[in-house]
Amino acid sequence: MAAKWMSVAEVKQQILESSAEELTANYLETINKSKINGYITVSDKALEQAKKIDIEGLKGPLAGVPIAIKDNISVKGLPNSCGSKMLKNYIPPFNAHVIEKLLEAGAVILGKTNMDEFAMGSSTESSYFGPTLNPWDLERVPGGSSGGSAAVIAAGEAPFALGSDTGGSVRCPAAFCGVVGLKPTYGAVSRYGAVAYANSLEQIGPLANNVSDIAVLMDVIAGPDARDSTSAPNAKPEYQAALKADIKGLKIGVPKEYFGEGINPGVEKAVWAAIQRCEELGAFWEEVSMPHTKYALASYYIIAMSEASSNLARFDGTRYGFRAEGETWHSLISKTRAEGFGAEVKRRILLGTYALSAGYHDKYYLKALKVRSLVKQDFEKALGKVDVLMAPTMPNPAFKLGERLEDPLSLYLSDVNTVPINLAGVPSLSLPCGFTAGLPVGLQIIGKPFEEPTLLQTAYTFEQNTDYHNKRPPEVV
Amino acid sequence: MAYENPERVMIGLEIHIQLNKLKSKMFCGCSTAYHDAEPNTHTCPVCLGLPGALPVLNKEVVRAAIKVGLALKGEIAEETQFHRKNYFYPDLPRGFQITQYDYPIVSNGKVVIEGEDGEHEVKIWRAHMEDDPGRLVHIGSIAKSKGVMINYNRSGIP
Repeated sequence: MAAKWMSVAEVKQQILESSAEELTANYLETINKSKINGYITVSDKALEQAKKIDIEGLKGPLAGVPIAIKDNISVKGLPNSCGSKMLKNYIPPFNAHVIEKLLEAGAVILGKTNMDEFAMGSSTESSYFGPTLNPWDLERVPGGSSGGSAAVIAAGEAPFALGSDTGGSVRCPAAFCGVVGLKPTYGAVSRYGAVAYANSLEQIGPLANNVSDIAVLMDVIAGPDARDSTSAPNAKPEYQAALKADIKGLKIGVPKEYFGEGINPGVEKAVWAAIQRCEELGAFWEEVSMPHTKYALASYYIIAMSEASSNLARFDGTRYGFRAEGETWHSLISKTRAEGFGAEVKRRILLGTYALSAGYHDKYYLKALKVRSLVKQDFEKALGKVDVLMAPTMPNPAFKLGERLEDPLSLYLSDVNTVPINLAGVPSLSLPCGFTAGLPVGLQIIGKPFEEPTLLQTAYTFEQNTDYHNKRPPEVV
Repeated sequence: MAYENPERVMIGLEIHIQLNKLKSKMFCGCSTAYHDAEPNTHTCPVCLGLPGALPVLNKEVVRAAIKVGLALKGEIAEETQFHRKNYFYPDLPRGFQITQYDYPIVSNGKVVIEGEDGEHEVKIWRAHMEDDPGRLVHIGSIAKSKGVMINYNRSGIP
């Protein structure tokens, strides 16, 4: 049997019936035939790892279960390119915290997935390794920046995956590829080993075929880690306990600002239908207002770019990664950075450096931080009245490859519904809730800090009563 | 002879104290006893600034800084902040130094010194914590050296 679109429970059943090695081999075969360019590196150790698990016996909750990892999360011995020429040959000598946890749980790492360069983008088109194609329509983008992670799940090339979400990078591709993606509460999952783009905003998050598998993965990766000072003691890995199909009495807030100008009518219709479905299942909904939403995008981009300009300073060709030759160390560093980074990364480093520079720091960066506080207050107020918020993840379905490349601003604007969540640090899950013109639509469910269980229960209930998560793209072979 | 200063020249001193009596580096667990060690043996992903590594503040550094502050009769801040000082230099593995800017741990201290004409009070404006970069090593003199080697053993020393 070809390894296709299996839940983790089905994968485990298959392993019992055959072996971890055979199952991994099936996935590798599917990957081998892929037309979507979802992986940057396929692990040459995956089969060996699976074989070892077969021999040593199935230990751990994910024994023999294969997983795909975004190429900005360090896996010892595998390249960690971040979708960039700069790190194309960089092989980390250590595992990220989440990778340690996955290996302890017995997971088999299939490979590293494609992404926008240094996670900067919403389409996976800025990758040095070429774009990933959307399995639903090969002429369209898979979303980004974790486009590879979402697309390989949708194409049946991995049962689940890890991504990272700085301003929507898990949820956007989940929505565009018709899979489930979670951005956990800031601090719920250790960032140790994930290459920093904007530290104050990002979290590692799971992507999967269904809500249960998200909970399975969270139970493995969440929880405190002394190596990340921002990892919180609050996150308790008991997420699977939340998988109860019951939302009777749940209070849903619908922020009107998230259905603003420019929203695709097909997306709007699918999301409202989902909210009505929740009402039929016993939930109540009311409209809420989050007045600072319109300022979130500007604040987000100033903060993210500012942090990026500092975080990416370490890539200077001195110790690892790409190096251009230069007569002096000045020219070596500047040539390395000129040739090693792509256009979008350079744009963000330049804008971020500008926003932090003397004379502009107060005008831009400090102001953006003040706006961030107001955006956060919007969430505190709204979530004081309701249990969860529901909105479209993306204002539009997957767009065509190349369509927005010439106009970076139009690409930034498509993040309007995802970035406020990162500014506030709250958890948010994107769930398939319908289709428009044959393309998947994502419903975004936003919750209070560390209340992922409420999100999972809501999403699980919706999923148990609908069939969208069982819809598959046409065979991409 | 008493010193005269008709031009009212004021001299500020920036004094660095290496906290090498502490067991581990400022943001990682690497040992500070690197002086007789082989180059680049007292290093880890954190003090090498490898992508994805994160700093975790050594509590003992804060304790030592407070002691310095008390010795200087300074005010110890209830809340203090670190900032990044960004500059490119091959011995600086992250491309920025982690230092303190507008909220240092110690401010308004003083040292009283004995001069020929009596006691003088030297004001200590501030004292803050920061980490050291690595060291550039040249073979022979800088002018004659064919290349530059970098020893990161010192990188991250408080």
